Amino acid sequence: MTGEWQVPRKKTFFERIQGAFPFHFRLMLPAIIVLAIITLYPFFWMIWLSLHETAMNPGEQDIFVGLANYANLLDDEVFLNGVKLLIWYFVICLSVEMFLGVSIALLINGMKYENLFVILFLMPMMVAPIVVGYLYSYLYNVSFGWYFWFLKSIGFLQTDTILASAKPVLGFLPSVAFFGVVAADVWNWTPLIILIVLAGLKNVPQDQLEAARMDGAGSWRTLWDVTLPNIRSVLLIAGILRFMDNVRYIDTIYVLTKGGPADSTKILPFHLYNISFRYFEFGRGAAVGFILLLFIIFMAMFFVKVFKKKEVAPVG
Amino acid sequence: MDKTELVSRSQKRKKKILGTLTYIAVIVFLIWTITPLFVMVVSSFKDLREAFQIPQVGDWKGVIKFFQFTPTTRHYVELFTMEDFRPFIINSLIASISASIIAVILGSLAAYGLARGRIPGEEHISFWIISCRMAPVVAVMVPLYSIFSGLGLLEAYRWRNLLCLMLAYTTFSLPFAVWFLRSFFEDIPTEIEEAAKVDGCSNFRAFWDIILPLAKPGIVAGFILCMILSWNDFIFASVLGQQGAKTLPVATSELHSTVDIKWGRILASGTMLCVPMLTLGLLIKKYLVQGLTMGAVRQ
Repeated sequence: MTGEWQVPRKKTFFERIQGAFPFHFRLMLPAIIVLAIITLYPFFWMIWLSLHETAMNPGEQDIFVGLANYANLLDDEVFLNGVKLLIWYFVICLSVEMFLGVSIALLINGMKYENLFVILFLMPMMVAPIVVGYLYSYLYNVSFGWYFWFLKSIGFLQTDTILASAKPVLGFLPSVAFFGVVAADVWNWTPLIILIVLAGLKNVPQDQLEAARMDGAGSWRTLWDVTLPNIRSVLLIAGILRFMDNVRYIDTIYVLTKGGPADSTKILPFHLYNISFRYFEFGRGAAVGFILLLFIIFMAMFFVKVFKKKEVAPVG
Repeated sequence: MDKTELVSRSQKRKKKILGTLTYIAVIVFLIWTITPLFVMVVSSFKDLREAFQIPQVGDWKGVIKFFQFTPTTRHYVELFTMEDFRPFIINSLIASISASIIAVILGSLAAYGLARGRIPGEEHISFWIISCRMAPVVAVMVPLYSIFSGLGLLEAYRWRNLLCLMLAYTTFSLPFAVWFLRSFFEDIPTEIEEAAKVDGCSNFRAFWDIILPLAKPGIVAGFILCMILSWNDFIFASVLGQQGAKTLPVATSELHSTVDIKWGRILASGTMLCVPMLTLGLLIKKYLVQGLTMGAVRQ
């Protein structure tokens, strides 16, 4: 054994840190730390809060109540109604938006003025939700609203108001006011579906379309067998995103109906807003918030899964 | 006449009809999309008496009434003279721009790390980040409210409240920026950095001098999208910034009191809220799909 032994130089503190955190991880650290402070900490705080009955007056102490806040929800009719309305809201909004969005995207795909149409169509998305609310309550107004006038004139609207009518549509659907809110959401977010579907359509393999045409498939068959399967994952992503935002934003409802009339538009997130910031029952609010969050986390898992799958067989 | 010619002629006619129908459908949809915005902008320039004029039910010719008015900028002027909206606009700008800057700076670092590095638990980190973006606003606000009020940040001081808003907006802007920019960095081929490293660049140099300039359009688009998200926010601002730092959406909502609704001013202020974001949105139209789907769908 000849040769020189080199005494390994003792690593400096800085180098040891560098070793423990690879370069890419160090780049992520600031964001991770900031996010942990503003989201993880509040998250655990919320779980803690949901086990307490919070003090209403200064000087009082929070009382530990265990799972009572959760148990009480089962007796809370507004809560159960809110869950039901949230599901209605999501299902109706999404199906109308999907139908409109996919059809319009198919119609304008490859059209001469496609770009111009896209620019005009995407405008509603940039409008603040609260402005959407005011806009529609202006248009729905009984004495000077143009939409009210129009719907009355074509004889479509049977009731004398839109936003103050709790009358169920066709007997089993939610109220007229509820559909007023839905129409605002559809106006606001159909453009997103159009954009997403258009992006998906551009990536449908041309050779598959050609092959279908060669085999003599009609345009409906081609649509059904070639185009739609190819944009399926894109549609799924659109659906998940819309669900998130339906739960996320209550600004429009806040302006249009404030959950009324007779709670017929009080979807769960809005009920949560009332519990927390009108009645200031933070413990109960935290319990509802936690349930909503679990729901959303579940959806996010789904989103990541779809995202991953898409990466294996790239669509975009 | 040849039979095949007949067939092809009838097919041509069918095609023409279909084309016309398509245009009609698209234009009907277009009218429905544009009308609300058009009504808002036009009515904001009307005197209230004229803005409230609509025809009798069923009187189709009365639509003309919509266009009969003498334009006035009264409501806009009132927003600055009688309501003093200037500080609210400034609050909105400060809160949304500062949150977006934080989001874009920290976001692009993290996004690059996520896109390139092989980090243990990377999946969990990215999942956690995206669930922050998707969390319902109210659910995020409940704990934030109680934490901030414990720290005394909710008292009626302008800068404290602005700090609350900035932090609150970062909860959704930062995750958004990370996911969006990650998809952007992934589209840049790794060979570029490898070549730079062969030439003796350090990891950081390669990122800073070579990758960042390449990703500039994405970073700009990310900034604008973050800004639109925060600028349009109402619920956070109404609860956390209510006392000292009213933003434009909150101020707009206060024009609607229990006593009366100042429609003229609401429409004017709504127009002011939308027009800047519409312009910005159109500037980054190319990245809109990628942005709004957090990188899941690319154009």
